[in-house]
Amino acid sequence: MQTNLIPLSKLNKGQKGIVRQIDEQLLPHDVELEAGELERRILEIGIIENIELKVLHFGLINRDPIAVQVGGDGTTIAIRRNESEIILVEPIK
Amino acid sequence: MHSEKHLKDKNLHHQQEQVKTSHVAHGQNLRVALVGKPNCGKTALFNALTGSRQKVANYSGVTVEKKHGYFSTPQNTLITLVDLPGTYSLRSRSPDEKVTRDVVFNQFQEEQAVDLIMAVIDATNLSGCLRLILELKQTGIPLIIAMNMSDIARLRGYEYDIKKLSAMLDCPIIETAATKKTGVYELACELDKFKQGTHVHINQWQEPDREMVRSYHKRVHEIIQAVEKRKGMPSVWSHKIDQILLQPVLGLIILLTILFLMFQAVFSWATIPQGLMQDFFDSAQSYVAALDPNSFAISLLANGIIAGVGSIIVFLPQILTISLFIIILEDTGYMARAAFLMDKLMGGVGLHGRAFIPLLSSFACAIPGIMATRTIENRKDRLVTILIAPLMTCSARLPIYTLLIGAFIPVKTVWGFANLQGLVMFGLFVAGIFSGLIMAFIFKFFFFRGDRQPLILELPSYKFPNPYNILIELIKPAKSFIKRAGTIILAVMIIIWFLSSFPTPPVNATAPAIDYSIAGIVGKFLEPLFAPIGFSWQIVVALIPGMAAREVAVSVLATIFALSGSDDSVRQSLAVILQHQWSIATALSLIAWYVFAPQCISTLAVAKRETNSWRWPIVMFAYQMLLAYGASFVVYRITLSLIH
Repeated sequence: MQTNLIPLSKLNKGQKGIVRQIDEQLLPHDVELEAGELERRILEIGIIENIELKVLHFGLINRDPIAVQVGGDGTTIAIRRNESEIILVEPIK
Repeated sequence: MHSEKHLKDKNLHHQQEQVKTSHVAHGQNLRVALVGKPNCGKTALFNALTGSRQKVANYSGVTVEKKHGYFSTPQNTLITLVDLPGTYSLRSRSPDEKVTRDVVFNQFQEEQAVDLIMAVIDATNLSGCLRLILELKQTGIPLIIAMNMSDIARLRGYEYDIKKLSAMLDCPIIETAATKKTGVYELACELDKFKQGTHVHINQWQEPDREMVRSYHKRVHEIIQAVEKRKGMPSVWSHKIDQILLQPVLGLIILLTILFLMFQAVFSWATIPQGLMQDFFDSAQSYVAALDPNSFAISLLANGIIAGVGSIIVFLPQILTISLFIIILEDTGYMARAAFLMDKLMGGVGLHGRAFIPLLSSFACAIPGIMATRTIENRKDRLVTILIAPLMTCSARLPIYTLLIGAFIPVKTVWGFANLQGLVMFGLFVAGIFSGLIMAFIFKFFFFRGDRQPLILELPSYKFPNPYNILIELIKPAKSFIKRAGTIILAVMIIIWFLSSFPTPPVNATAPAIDYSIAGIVGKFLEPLFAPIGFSWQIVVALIPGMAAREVAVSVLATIFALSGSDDSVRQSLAVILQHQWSIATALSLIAWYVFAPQCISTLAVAKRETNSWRWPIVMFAYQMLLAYGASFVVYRITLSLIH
């Protein structure tokens, strides 16, 4: 794991990052899914390695869930803080 | 020719007429599956192609709606278009997605095999759509692609080499804009080029694992690199609107305002047409009843059928109003935002953000609400949502609340502005919502323990709702509601009329006829059971037909207290009679009962159908019964002790 990588959940509102790694092992609170499934769902909706993410919005309580813009196309995806921990990004300054 | 009416060009229309006459003999039938990811405009395209020629049923064994539409192509090919639920992949996670896969792979015995897949892709989001296309290619079934929302894509500056894309994917691509009906004719023409039975390749599809998903994405990326001539801009408007609607505090306030408007619409605006319909059925009933007061057939027609079915049909305006709101919220793309805003709040009691929509629909009626739980992927989450849906105050409870509040709660202004009666009504709604949330927590904690399911939800770009689409979508609930009123409810009404009319009273009877009927006997038999919560046998009798439809209890009470006259005067005088006959403790107890009680057979039947087992409707019935009895007992006893 590269040292400059942080989980998506650590990005601030408006900040951008490039996805470098998606790793289910990093999930803090288990979700009830078979192995590989969460990673697959995140990939299926379009969050994939080397794509750019931009944090757009947070929910009211504990800033959860998070809304991110995926790629340049502007698809917006909502994801919970817990699940966003498995997406490691390289922040863009 | 159904596609005709979509044609604006008279020349094309003329050509089509000629073609039609020359090819009648060659007309073939094709089954086409309409597949696409959520929010790609698939339903709009389905409606544009088939118009109102649609049939909605259920797939046997599963609870997903089977939507078929029919139309003819210019060359007279008769198309059966099977609309499949939106999906990101052919693999199945929810009941909805399983159906998509099973239809594509011809797993339903009652369904014929699909000849052709029409895949819908969103021109403003190619990268999100092409992976499904690559999966569909693997099935070996011939493919036609409708590149939808091409008008919006052009506005945003997207430009693609469609010819090249078509060559790379090895299938025809037609640009469409379903809401404007452009490209729909061309799409129908393309279907004519297809000859049944040819083109089919071997199925090579296998469930993609995460590495396969990655390689699909890689291929999609390569394709887009090759065909993209100009990159468009994301929807600026959507982002601007989201700045307001997803703002944490303001967003929630707006959501609550929309909900408030919705209730306002259902409970005050919709009551205007409702009143007119009520008047109509009342006069029809009294007109028919007056024809021959001694005839049983007339009595059945007037008091059983017209009164019974009429008392259900009058809820049509409310159901249409709430459906209209929900369709518009869905069409514009707001529903996903509501799930985003509510997710954490609902998560507190263990509900999934997606449960918000079904629970919202349950305020109109628990039946569409329970049906809407199909979009919840996880079975446990879905069951909890189904179980608590009947605790949301449905519109059928209103007549009872209105009657009892009118009779027993004084008209008084409290806190300087609020009407006490309105406040009590609001309190009953809140009581329903809170008990629903508490029950969800209990169910989740004791019976469905387990980790939370993830929330990974696309927030689609905002769109203007399309009036034609709204109309078509609105006809569906109306149709099914009227059908229900005309079949099941009609049958139940006849039975209830029979039970409360026979045996007939003796000649020298002094009490009302219902005293001597089967319903009366049953009511008196059950009375001791309900005495601890203050119910008289008349109430018990009213509760039984109230199982068919809650609001019927009002008319049964009216019958029992031997009243006559128009319904409005019945309600007023019934309220006066109740004030004298019942103590306030009994009235409050009955109100509490109606907040919780499983007073609706249809809801239980739908729960049985949706869960495919008797277990959950039985659990639902049992817990609601316990809650209702407990709440009524507490309310009755407390009120009694306060009076004395």
